[in-house]
Amino acid sequence: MKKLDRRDIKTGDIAVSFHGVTKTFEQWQRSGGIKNTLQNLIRPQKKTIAALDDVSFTINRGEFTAYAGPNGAGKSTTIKLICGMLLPLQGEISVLGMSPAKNRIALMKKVGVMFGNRTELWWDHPVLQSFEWKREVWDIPKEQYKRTLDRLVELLDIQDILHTFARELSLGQRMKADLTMTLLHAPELILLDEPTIGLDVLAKRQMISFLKELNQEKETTILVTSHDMDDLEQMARRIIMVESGHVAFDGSFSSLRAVTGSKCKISLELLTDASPEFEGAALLSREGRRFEYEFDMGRTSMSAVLSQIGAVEGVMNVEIKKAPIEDVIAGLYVEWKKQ
Amino acid sequence: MGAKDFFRRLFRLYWLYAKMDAAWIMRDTKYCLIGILADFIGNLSVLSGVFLMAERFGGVGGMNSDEVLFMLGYNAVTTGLFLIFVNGNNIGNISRIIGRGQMDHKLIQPLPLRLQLLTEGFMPISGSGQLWAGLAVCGVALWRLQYPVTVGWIMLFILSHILSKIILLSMMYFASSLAFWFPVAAEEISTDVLDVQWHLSSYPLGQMPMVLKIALNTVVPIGLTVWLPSLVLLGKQRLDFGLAILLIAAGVAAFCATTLFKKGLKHYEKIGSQRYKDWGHRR
Amino acid sequence: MKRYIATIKLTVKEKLSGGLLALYASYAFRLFYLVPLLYLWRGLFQSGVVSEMTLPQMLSYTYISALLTEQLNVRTPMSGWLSGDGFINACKRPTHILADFTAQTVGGWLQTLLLFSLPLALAAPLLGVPILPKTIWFLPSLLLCVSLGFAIDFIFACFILRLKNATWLAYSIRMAVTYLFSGSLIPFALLPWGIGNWLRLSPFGSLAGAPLAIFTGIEAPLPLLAAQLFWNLAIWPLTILYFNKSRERMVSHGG
Repeated sequence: MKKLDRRDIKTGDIAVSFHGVTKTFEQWQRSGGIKNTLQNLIRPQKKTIAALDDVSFTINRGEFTAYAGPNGAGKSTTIKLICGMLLPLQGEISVLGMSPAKNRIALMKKVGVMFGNRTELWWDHPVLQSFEWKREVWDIPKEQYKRTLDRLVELLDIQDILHTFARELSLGQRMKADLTMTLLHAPELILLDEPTIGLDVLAKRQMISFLKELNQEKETTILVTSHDMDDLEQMARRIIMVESGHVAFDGSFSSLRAVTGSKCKISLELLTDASPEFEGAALLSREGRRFEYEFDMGRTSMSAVLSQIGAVEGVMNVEIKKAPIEDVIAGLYVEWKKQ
Repeated sequence: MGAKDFFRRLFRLYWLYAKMDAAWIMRDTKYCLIGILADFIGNLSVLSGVFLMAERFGGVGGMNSDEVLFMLGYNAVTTGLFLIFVNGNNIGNISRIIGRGQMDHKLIQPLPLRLQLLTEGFMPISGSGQLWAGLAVCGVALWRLQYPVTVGWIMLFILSHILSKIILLSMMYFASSLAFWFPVAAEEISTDVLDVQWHLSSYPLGQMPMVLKIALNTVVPIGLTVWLPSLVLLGKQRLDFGLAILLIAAGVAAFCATTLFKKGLKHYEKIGSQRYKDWGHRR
Repeated sequence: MKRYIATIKLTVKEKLSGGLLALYASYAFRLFYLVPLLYLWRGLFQSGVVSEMTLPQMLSYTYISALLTEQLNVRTPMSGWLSGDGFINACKRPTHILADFTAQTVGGWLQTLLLFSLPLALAAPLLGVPILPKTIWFLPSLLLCVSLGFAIDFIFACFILRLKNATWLAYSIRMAVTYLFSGSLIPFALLPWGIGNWLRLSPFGSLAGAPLAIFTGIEAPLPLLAAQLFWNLAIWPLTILYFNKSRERMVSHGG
């Protein structure tokens, strides 16, 4: 299942390197009964979970990498390990040539972290005050701060909220302000944990195009996690997928489609009610005289499919769709669960 | 970070938080003034209870009512300094930050943790109400006692407050470190410590049995935060003995708290926090 | 009622989930407060002062106050530090909001009553503290105190949320109520210059001070019960009115 396709990935210095990293956690268990509750008071039951199990990968400078996996796969743990918030049980981690465990302070000057469900903004102050605070704490030179802020304000269109108290922002506004804050010190590596969570379509598009621009123009290394696979495909070229603490896939989105089986959907609109049968295809659904089939392009070529369709009488319309990445990933998750 | 750089950053950060506090009070004056007033009323009620009792019985715990009044004023100054230096952003109530899984917010800052903890709670304007009230109460008590105040005495007053604050914070950080291992149960443990300290430290310990007196000046050194320094400052306890006890206690308490906190932080780095509460963070 | 019992059960389990060590660390702080206070009173009363109370009455007053501290000075999660989240959660449930907060509060009491108050009550004879009430009127007085405590706490909660979460303010005022105005620590009878007589008439005087005075027999029960009943009847309608006026602000709180 593991596939590495790095042809379209820029090479250069390594930004993040994980070598044989293992990280375990203990989870408290309780059945909920009174007897069990009292037992737990004296001797708590615990279960050991391997959040990451012998994980190795590298991310080069300038790469825009998606980091995905089902809930509890170890995504946030990875980000916390990169920041030095957590220490690995085993293995070595190097970030921008430094050890996060030993050089947390120096590293944080070069890394920007944003957790979509948390905020770094000061709740009882206007947004601008939080930025000023960041300038002082991160020791950003005034010139650079002003230049970066002006650019970010323009790009993210947050001029109107600079003087608004953080507590009064909508979620989308808050995320934009948080992203600005994350980028104020011009980090070399940006870690984004669910940056599009809860955003509306427009805000999401703005956020994605801004991040792509940042990656292309400044060659900033970006590692982003999300459960929205379409968002990830739009942003990143490479995807690392983790499952139960292991790297299950590392490569480009196109190779991910190839590995998982290149599923393709074809809709036919016919003049007759009878549903035709095609070799190597399965009928997924029918709605009146509209039929949807699924082909595996790895097994049956597109020309073979089209020639079969050409032989059918009364074809009014044909629509060919590549399976959305969401479906590809969902299929993978189901497969992993079965294993 | 070298010592010179450390102090440069320290004062710059104090200045930053002072400006932020000023900005907050200017933008939210109504709430801030009500807050100062509420602090004043709340703490005064704790102190006035003991004073009224001392007045009613002509003294309590081996101190006359004016001496009790001075001790209560000293207590208010200790509280005031706590409010000014560590009350902001739950820096004093650190078990909340630990228990709520908010240490991550600290760890992404490119600053040593000790520098953050020293500065982030600084609220010199909005937190100052109690300090002024305490100083006024001390002044009235000294005037009623006709106590001679010299420059040396003022220096001693400042030094004893620094030591009291170290002891108090050490107690809070020592107990709060439990939150690294028990985040849910110990989230509010610093509030428990503070409540006990604020209320128990208002009582003179003079008439207590020796075992209890020793316990309250060693195991749970509440007596060292207000009662003993007050006795020293009022000349009711030998200066060299009192000061030596305070210095040793501050050193030992700080050592114990730092050691346990560092151990807890190591544990946090190993297991992280499986719990995150967004409320209370910088609110 | 089943729904509220389920909430109570869950709150008890939540409190117990952290392990005994952390739970007793919190109780230890209460003991650190109670034991010195008992000896302080012993020292004071044995020094020959003239007072309206006897030493056993004073010890009993302090002890019961520590054992029932949560009932004598009610604090609900609604007025706590996390009022914004807690309120929205309560709104999402098919229960009455105030009743839901009451259930959460009662759930929080049970583990303390079982693991702290009960053992301490059993240990009272060892410390030479009498813990039997002078009169049975203590029970209705305690119930009226708890009821009034909830009403006052809900007013505090509405006040906090109208002030945009000024929890520190409420905390400070509550401290004043607890430590002076309610008489939970220093009996009104011991305050000089007749201050106690005035405080006794205030609604806060019908909180801890009233049942404790009845328990120890330092005051006649019926006038105190009448005052408690009066304040319950006067404050509950105000609480409901203020709560209904503040509801919308509570939901929109947090932006």
